[in-house]
Amino acid sequence: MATKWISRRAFLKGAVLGGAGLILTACPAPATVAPVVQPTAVPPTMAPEATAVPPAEAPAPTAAPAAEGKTMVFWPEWGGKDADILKAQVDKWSEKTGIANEFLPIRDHTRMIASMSAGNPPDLLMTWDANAVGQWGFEGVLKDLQPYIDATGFDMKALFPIGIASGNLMGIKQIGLPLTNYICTVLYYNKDAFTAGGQDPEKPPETWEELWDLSEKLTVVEGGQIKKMGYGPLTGQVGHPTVYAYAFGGSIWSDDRRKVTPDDEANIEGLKFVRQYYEKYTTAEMQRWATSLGTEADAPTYPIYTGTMGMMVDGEWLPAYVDKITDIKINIGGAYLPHPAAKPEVKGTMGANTNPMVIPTQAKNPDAGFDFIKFISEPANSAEMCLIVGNASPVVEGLKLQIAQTPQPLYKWVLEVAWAEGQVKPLTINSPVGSMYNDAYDRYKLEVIEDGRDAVEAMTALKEEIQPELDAALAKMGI
Amino acid sequence: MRLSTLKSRQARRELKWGLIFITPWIVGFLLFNLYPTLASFYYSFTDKGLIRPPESVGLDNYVRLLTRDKQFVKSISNTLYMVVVAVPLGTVFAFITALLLNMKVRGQAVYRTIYYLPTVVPAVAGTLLWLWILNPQYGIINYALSFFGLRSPAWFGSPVWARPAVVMMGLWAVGTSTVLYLAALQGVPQEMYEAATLDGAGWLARTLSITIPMVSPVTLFIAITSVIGTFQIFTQAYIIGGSGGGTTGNPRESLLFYAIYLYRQGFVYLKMGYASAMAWILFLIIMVVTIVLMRSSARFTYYES
Repeated sequence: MATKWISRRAFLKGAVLGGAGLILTACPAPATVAPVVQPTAVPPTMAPEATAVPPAEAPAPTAAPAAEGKTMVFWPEWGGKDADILKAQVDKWSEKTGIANEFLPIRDHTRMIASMSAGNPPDLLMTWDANAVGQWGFEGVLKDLQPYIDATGFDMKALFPIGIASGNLMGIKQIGLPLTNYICTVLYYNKDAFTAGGQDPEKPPETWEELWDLSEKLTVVEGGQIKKMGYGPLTGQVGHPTVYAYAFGGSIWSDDRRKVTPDDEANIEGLKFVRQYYEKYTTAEMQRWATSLGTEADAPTYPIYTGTMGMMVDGEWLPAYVDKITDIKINIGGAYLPHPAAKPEVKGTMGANTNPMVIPTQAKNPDAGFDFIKFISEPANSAEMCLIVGNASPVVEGLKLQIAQTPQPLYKWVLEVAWAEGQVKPLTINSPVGSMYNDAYDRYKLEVIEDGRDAVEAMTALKEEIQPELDAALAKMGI
Repeated sequence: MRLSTLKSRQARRELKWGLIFITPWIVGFLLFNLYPTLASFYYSFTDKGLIRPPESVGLDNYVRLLTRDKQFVKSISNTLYMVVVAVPLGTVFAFITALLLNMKVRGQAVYRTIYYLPTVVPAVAGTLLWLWILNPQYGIINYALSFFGLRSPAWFGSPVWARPAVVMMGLWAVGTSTVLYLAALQGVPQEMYEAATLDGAGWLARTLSITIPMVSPVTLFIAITSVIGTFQIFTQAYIIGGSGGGTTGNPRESLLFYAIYLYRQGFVYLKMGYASAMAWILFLIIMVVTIVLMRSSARFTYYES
């Protein structure tokens, strides 16, 4: 007698029902988000070896205690070692408060935007892009932190003004508080290149005029090809739209941020200064040379390390890398960004950025998010983290602690002199059209610098393009 | 019971089970394809931010795109450059490569593997690799050119050379099209070549008169899919664009492709309505181009059947 097998139809029926049952029992799956790694130009924040830091002070009492038992979900836009160091602080906070944390480094604005748009954001976000924070704030997806500040007695005077400004929406509300600050415009110079060029290695230029003269002497051109450049006029952090305007004594924004002022005389002067390089060495050769440069500050091929560039504007994190690179001997110094000889009052002007921490409007545990902000703003905690990360503590007392513990002499100068005595200005302005303005500025700037377009005409055209957008955006928000 | 009733009951049962089987796909299609597509069509007529309710602006987004947005025109022109240059070059290059890899030589399998390998390299890794290869001072292309006393251009630093460099990167990864051509070449009847040889036709005549017509259906497929893919070029330009996320289309907006500009409008400027309008315009462009290709295919496509 033949064996009776199950019919194909019956088998398929059973498979479908079984599969449907499996799917139903598997729902809802826990949300897991794999971090997306994207190459960005996020300022590197590696740091010298950590040294002992005084124990944390007793925390200030909180008027609005974080919800115990819940989890605090934190998405910082740091990766690698920096994320590990921040995680250590978050774990310390969890231990202290008894609140678990879900720490997920996310280096992708798209994911952050999608989570806020979908109503399922984390409790705390940190991004290096204050532009984005400003735009998100104007979109209404970030909480006003003032009620938390008031309820918990958070002392805003304990923070440097620039950190507060980076999270403030045109005086309307405070949507972010700084995790770290960092100066982006230190003038680094290669002392060996200075010596080889017959220049005093301990005398960096103080004025733009001196810098131009010095860079001419240090530039080496062979067969029409640039081999070494005395100064990279658009390399490093100096390419940021606000830098040259500040460095020549002006700004591309009005004080109340309601007007864009790219036609500011100081900005025009800055553009003309840069244009000199492209006129002298030709645009094609400058493009070619700039594209060939190493871009990683943690690699021995970085142009300021090798002397390929005699002088370069870069961030305060650079000294932290110098100690770690052992392949070559690096001999660099740091100085203030130069100022125009006719404007000595501009001396010491530096541009800085902040890593703002923000709480999305639909966060499920915002109290815990703010509690961590308070925790990391305690001087000892802030100093402990910033010492390793290589950014400046945004807390006044925290910076003092950090300076006392910093072994690297060049970085110590940045913290002691530049932060304490420099005129530190924000590189990024919170505005609903911040990104659009920056992109358009780049476009017009290159027309001036590479094509030789008249600077006044170009900047006026830029103003005419962006000002209506800003006016419309502010009007829509009722500002 | 009547036979017709039995058949109709069976047909209904089969239909029911068929629908149950394809329900997961239907649900997925409705939720993740149809709904977002219709939603984006609606948003394209609105001013939509992140969580703000959409405010109707009528045709304003489309009018602005087509009449006042210089970057939109720039992005279309850059993208069309890639379609007009990269697609034909890529197709020809893939065909020639397939012809070479179809030759009965020793190590044929090894050569086929080597030529296909670039296709499996992820786009991001491949782009970073090419950034090094095309470095104007230290790249191997510059090194090779220096033997002939030539200097390499700035490549990704020059608005003139950046797009040709991207075209070159695309030619490196034509593995998929090559494989399709290889498969098509196997289907060309050998008798045709023999008959042509007997008639005195040389290699070139055989290739032009037999090989190319016989693989023309594959050429049409590759042309259509390449056009659709090239209109959406994104990853390479995003990586090369550099700091700030790569959405500026640097150098000098020469790599500001349509998808890059669309991304910038939606995810940097947070103008979701405007970006949706751009998406629908792209859809229309691709649809028109595809219809034109299909309609004109009768002139250059030979189907043996």
